[in-house]
Amino acid sequence: MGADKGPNTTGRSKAERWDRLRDAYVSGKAVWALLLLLLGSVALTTALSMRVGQAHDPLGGRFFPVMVSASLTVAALAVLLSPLVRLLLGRDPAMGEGSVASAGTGPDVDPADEPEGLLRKPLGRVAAMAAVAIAYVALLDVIGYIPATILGMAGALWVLQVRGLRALFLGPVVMSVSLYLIFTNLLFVRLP
Amino acid sequence: MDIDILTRITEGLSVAAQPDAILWIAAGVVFGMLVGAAPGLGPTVGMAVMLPVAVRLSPEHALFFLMAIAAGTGFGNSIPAILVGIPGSPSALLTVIEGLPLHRRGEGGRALMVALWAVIVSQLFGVLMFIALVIPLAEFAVRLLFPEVFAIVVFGIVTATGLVTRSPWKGLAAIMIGLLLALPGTDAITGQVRLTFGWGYLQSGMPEIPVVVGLLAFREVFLSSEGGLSALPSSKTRVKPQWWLAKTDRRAIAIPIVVGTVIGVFVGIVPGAGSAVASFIGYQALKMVLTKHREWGKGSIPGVAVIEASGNGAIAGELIPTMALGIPGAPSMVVVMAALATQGIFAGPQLVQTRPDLLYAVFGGLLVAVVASAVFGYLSIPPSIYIANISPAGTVAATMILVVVGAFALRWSLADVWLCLASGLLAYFMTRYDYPVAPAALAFILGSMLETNLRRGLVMTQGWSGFLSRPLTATLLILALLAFIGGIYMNHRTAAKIDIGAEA
Repeated sequence: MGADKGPNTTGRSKAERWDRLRDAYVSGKAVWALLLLLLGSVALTTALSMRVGQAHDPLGGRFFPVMVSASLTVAALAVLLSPLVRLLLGRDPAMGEGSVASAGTGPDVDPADEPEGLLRKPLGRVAAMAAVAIAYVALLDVIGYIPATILGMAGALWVLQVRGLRALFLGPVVMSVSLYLIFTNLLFVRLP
Repeated sequence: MDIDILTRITEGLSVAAQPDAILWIAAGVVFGMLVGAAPGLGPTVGMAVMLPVAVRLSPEHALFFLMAIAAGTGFGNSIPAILVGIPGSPSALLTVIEGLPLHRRGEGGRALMVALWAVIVSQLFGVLMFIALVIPLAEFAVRLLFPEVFAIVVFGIVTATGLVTRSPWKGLAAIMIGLLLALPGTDAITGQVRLTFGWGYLQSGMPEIPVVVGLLAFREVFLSSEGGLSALPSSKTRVKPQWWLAKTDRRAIAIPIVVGTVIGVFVGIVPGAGSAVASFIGYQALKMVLTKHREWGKGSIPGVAVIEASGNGAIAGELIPTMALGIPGAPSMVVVMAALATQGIFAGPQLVQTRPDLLYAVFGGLLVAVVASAVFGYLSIPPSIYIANISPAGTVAATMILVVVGAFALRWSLADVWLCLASGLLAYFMTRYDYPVAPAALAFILGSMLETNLRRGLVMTQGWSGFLSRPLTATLLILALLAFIGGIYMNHRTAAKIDIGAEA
């Protein structure tokens, strides 16, 4: 990334546009694109080091993995570089697509932001929900379907700001017991 | 049409008219409507949850049951879309735009009735088009060789991506994420195990259903928790059910339904472009036809009709490539193929030759399902209104539970559940940062098919030049590129940021 500054200044002032550039890179979007880049390049090196027998197949088992991981790497790189390119072209250096796209899925929040008041942040709520889901699946094997489901459902409701003992207890109990009975007795499906 | 076909249709109908078949169809439709009405749950989850049941049935009954679930969700998903403003599944996204304003004006009952009529008529015509198209297509498909199949699959994935993304790079990345997920496992041609990192679980590849269910359904759990409870709308307006349509309404919806159904079926045939994409295209097309109509976006009756008609026409359309080519027309069709595969029946051109009776049975079953949709559609309006109105938090929590059952139930494997959960998180972050998830799911499903056909094709044509100079292959690949660029251009123009992820 050897670019320094944009030659053309239309619209915003230079400092302002550099600020926008910094904002574009200090964001979850950039972290995600970086992760994809990492994924692509790890997959690419793995695929390249794959040993494949050259049977009567001109392409071999390696071509497709290499192509896929290389394309992913290129695409992630393109997304990552797009703000810089946009700046060089004298446009608004937002990550990814123009300004409309950034009005997408809620405000960007740094995942590492203050742990207290976790549920007040969108990403905090998602993290809490993910934790509930992970705990639920982990518990299935340990304490059995009905207890785990009661806990899992109550946890999910709690993350969604449902309070009150009746809603947190009664709903999950009815739901898990009836699901269990329906699936095992009526439909003969085994549950975890 | 010769006598032979007529007798076969009669035979198919008689299979579907048996009491036990009707029972499974009715059960499927009712279950589908309930699942459809629950926000976030679409046909894929509904069918995946019931897959363990389906594999215990005869192939005919399994097909009836699963397709009836799909048919049921077709109407079920529009109920919360109209009454609460939450699409039951992505194909009802646009229904929110035209249906919710009607409900706000106190015409929820009328909107529901228009939707129900559109669903029933389009499903009926979709079934007729299914039986008219599936056998010719299969006969044509027998002559297709590897390069053509490769090009068809590329065309499906790329076109579907162009329709839903505004950034070519993010679209490309999404496709590649899906293909990457499809890589680990046993190389279909050399039998070599690759990219499993020594993990036995991956030896036979990533299991399809847990990944698809995770990508499309578990994601919803995280998406709805992101916004918190306040972001989940709820409806307090009472709905007065309406039981018939006024003459003016019937006139107003006739053309939209015809337009929608035809578009829906043909869009559905394109592998990957499912109901959601179909409803989007149908809606745009009607907007171009009815330029004088002033109600667009403000509660348009023809709008609701065309959205529902194209979305539901696509259900029959999706089944066409599934049966005729062995290419799943939508993620939910993977479940249908899995159900058949456990009984040793593999969808594709051979099926049409060896088991044509199954196709006619499906035809009969779908007809019965349409009738069941009509009956239960009417009956289900009151209970579905209730379901759509129970606490949104409750449905989110219930989604999590059902998704876990769906991921577990096929192979009784907790590892599958973990994989499903991981896929859900992946899909959440993709959605959050504007990478379209539906194309990724599609690419994942079709990945190994893409690779084997490419490699076998290259062996056959002895190199790229022979491969790419085949007329049909070249045409399809060029069309795919044009559709991709055109789609992105259109998305920039309309700037309507609608996440039409295919089927949930």
